[in-house]
Amino acid sequence: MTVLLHEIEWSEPTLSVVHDAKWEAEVKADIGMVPDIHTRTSRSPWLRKTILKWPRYEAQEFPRRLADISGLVAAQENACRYCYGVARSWMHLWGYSKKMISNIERNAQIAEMDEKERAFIRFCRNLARSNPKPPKNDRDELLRLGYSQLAVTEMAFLIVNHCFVNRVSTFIAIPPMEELERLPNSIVGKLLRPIIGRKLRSIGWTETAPLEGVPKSFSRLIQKLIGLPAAVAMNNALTGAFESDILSKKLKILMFAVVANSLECDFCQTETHAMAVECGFNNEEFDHALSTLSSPYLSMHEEKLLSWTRDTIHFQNGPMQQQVRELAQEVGESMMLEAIGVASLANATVRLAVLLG
Amino acid sequence: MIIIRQKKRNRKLEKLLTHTNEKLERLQIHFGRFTPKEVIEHLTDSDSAYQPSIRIVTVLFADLRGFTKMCDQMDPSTVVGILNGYFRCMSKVVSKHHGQVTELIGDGILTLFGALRNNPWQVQDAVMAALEMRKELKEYNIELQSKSLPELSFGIGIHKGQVLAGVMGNYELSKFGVVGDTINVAARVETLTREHNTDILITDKIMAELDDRFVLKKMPPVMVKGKPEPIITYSLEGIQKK
Repeated sequence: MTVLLHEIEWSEPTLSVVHDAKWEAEVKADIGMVPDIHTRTSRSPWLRKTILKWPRYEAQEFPRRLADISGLVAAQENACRYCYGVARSWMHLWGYSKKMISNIERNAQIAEMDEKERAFIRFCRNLARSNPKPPKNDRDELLRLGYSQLAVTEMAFLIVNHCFVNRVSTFIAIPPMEELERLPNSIVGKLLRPIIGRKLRSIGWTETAPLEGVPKSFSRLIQKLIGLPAAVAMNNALTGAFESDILSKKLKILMFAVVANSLECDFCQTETHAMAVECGFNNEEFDHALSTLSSPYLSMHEEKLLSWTRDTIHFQNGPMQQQVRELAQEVGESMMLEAIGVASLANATVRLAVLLG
Repeated sequence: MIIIRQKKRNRKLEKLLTHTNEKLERLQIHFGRFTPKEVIEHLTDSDSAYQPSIRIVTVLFADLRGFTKMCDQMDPSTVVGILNGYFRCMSKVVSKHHGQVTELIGDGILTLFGALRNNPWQVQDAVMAALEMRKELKEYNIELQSKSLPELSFGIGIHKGQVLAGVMGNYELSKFGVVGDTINVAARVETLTREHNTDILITDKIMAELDDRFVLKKMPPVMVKGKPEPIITYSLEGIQKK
């Protein structure tokens, strides 16, 4: 059920702040400030980079207005209190009217929008929703309405990108940015809105480096993003996640496979099976690990993280945040943070593959 | 003048809309006590009715032993209190293991795993839930004992197979439910717990999907009503830790 900002259940953060002076200087140089989320994810090099860049991804192939709307809709559908508050404030500061934002939030009076925008919002809600799995006919509807294949592919990437950030923020229970949320209604915010809005636009990010070589993980999925900055963004995140040594590669492959199996994604099931065999599992071992969520290759802590991965697909904030807190005490914050990143990336990757695969 | 009047009317309409929204949200919360959340989401968020579907599910049927007799001998409000406490404990365990309590039939609990969304681990979930229900009942009995109330004991039957899931009934009265032989088999297996003097019984279909961590004891085959072949069951003794 779609909820409004004040209705979202949210607890105290589940992971602590870790200061890393070099990293914080890098963040400040990039976006001009160091929000809480960048200190709580600082332990994991690939995750912190992805969290710094992905939320600022600038769509190339479809209107900016739709890209702005997607952040709000995804955060609302995923009930991410942190991202919802940020997206709502950003939209105000970018000059969208209160009425328009409220109509999108309540999914009301969107009849006033044109057919293409309505179809986009529907696509966005359904792809961001945790249940059921993303419907391909919403994508086909967008193509029928005249969006190019590349534009729809980028829309899908942008939405799963938001879902990734929503999940990371929710699992860590990042404290809402109350100052930013108050800004649009303050005198300063009202007076300086155009300047602040422009400043916010200036921190937008686009990947300019070309994709080099053959991607190591989910290569066939990344091929589908070629022509978009999203290809490099996705490849960098996946490579970073699989090369990180905080969790074993076998566990990470199994985490992706668990999400693929739950969402019945044939594309990712085939991909993870091939990755598992390459990593040293034989067929029987992999099937056994997947059906029992245990394996002689995994430690007890890793088995717990694998079981937890199941719960990252459909969840309620309160019980999930409590579960993360308890699990973090057991396995340690470093492992937990890494698992949060991998599970969130697995959810994003599989959702994208269900649509594009 | 017209503009002012129109603005007033708009404000009134907006108030009415907010009030209606709040009412709808309250209704959804109350409705949630009667129907699974996923079904409500489907009914409220989509234009189509809930489409009935055939699904492969794991059914766990739990029934209290000797409860009817207890009802005759005790104060009704005490009985309801005991029963509600029992349902509360068991529902918590079921949710933790990704199951949905679909129906409370007297003192019986019909639970499904994999009915509303795909669940490749439904058999393991149901078995783990049954083991934790056993543990939870032990703890609940300690609580009952401390209040000088009689202890409870249950039987659980678990089976897997096809069911038809959907919103059933007529315009005035309908509910989300499941029908199919799988439900009957789970209920029959539950009744066999008395015959085999055990509390948790699973069918061979369930046994085939479990790994060797689970400690099982094979029971002699028994003919049951409505089945041409005898049913082979296994008593679930426990789980070996890694």
